[in-house]
Amino acid sequence: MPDLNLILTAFANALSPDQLIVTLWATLLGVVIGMMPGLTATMGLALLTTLTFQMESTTAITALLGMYVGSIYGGSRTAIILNMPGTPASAATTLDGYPLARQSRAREALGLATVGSLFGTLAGVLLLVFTAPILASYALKFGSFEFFWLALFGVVISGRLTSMDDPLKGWIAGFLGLILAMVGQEQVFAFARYTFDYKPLSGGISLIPAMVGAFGLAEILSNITGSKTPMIAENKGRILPRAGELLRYSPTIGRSGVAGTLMGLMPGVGEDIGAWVSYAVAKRFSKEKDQFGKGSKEGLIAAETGNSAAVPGAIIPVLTLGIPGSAPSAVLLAAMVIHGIQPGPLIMIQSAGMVYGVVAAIVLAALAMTVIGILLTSPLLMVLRIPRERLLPIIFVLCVVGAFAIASRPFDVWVMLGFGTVGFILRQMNYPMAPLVLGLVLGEILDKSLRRGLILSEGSLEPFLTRPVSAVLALATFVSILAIVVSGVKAVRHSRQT
Amino acid sequence: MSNLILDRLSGLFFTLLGGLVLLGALQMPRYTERGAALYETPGFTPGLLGVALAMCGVILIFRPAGTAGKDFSFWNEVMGAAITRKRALAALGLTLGYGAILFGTVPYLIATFAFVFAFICTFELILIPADKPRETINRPRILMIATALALLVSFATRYVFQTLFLIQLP
Repeated sequence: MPDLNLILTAFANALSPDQLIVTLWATLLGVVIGMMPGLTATMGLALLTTLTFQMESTTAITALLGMYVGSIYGGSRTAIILNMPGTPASAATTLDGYPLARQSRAREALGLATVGSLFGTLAGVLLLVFTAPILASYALKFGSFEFFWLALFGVVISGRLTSMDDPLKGWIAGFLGLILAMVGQEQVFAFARYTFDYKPLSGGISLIPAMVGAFGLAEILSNITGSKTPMIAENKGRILPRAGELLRYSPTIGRSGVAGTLMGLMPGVGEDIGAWVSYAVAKRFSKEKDQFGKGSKEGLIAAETGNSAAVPGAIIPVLTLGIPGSAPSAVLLAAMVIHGIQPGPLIMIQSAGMVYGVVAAIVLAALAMTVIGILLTSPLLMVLRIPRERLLPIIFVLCVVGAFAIASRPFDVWVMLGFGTVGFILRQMNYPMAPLVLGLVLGEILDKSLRRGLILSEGSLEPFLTRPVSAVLALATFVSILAIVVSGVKAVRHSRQT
Repeated sequence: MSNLILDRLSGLFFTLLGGLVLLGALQMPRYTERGAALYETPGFTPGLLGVALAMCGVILIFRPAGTAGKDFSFWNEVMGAAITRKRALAALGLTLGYGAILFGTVPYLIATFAFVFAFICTFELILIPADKPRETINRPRILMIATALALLVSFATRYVFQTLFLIQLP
């Protein structure tokens, strides 16, 4: 059970004036970043990480959480007003948000999205509070065998869910990430792999420059290439949803909160899938299915509740297993390590206060996001009028300087440029970036766990398949792969017949 | 270029990459003199991953056309519309030119000023979006904005990183 005293202490600390100010500016910055097409939550977090080096660890994590919550929410503004998701997490929001805006109900849509995001975040936080201690205590029993399967399952499920139309490409991206994680000194013999006697490579590829490239530069290139200027919908009407309306949609909010959090929990799956799954679940249970995609308030609220619930959901495996639930949470994980926090199964024993500190920071960021969303709707929309031609070079300068600032070495800038260029090309061919990043994070765990496990079992694969948790994870991995293989074979047969 | 050809080309690339990764793994030391088993060697995991990547690449090459996935609208646009192609190449050239060449070789302030100024001028004066009428462009105003923004960005970022965060910029 969660420790009430620790929760109260965490909230008392988070409510101190300096932490409140940090929450407020970081959430506002997050909302602005999320709103701007071309700037994603991952990019915002990666850039902000480079600015938090000098901060005290609690303040830095509070700022990063504010940025995370704010940017996922901020994407909904653009989705509703421009029909263009500010972040990938808001793609499902465009389906009903923009049609509502076209019906001159933009403010109503913005208000519903705000309330949906608030409830989604709170639902996710509630699940975080109750599941994190259970998951952490369970994870204490995990050995190399379980961690190997967890890493492999993470890449397989992330590849499958982030590339629904073509899971093979998701897996290729995942394997590519795992291979890139092999670069540098390995842990058993301290042998430098794939370094070609080039010293900077012996430390491996740093996650932050890689993510700034894959999510920053790649996004800048995609965005500036588009030759059409986006159309802004009119911003009229009432913003606060009516209580009766919220009561009517409360079952949808509840279902979307749970669905979003569960999607967040899945390694490397993240907020965008959280929104899509919540949207699909809401449509399935809705009495107004035919309204979905034409301006359904229920659809809008489901998508926004789902993506916001995935934020705390994605943080659960970060804290308890040291495995990210989404791309932005991978940056958060790296930032925690930079600031001397070691997430993993021991976290509830060594620093339970930190876990509840995260809870308090997310709740306050969600409240700040709601206040900002309700009170600053019109001024914030002014940001959308800044031409991308003026904004993107500034962002790119921050990408370069941010990558350089991590270790003051040009090599990290080249890593950022490399990941950005390759990421840009791969994205245009529908290769998802999330499994690549997850692979980069999980590569070391996979390698270490596989080899240690085999050393412990003297080369036998038996414990990998017979220990209870290992068996479940192995089964889940094989089923995920088999399902795709079977459907692929069916598609081949079908195409031969027709 | 059709989606299928692009898929097959990328499949070929990943097959070759997987093969090279496997080759590199096989050339890593085995430490048999220390009594290490095959599964302990540094090349064990990368070798397996190389095989997995190559296998996925082979499937991508030989799978039927029906599973070629969604339309890569970007590539079709780039191949078709000259302005999109030019914008893509200019963005790539400017960003790589600044990040890989100017940053670190030219003093930071000059490099950043040049990049921001060139970026704004390129995309607001030369390679303007197809749906924006040329006659609405106010050249002197854009040049002034580009100069002011380039100065502001270069000095502000240097102040934040060098003075506040004590990071020595090149």
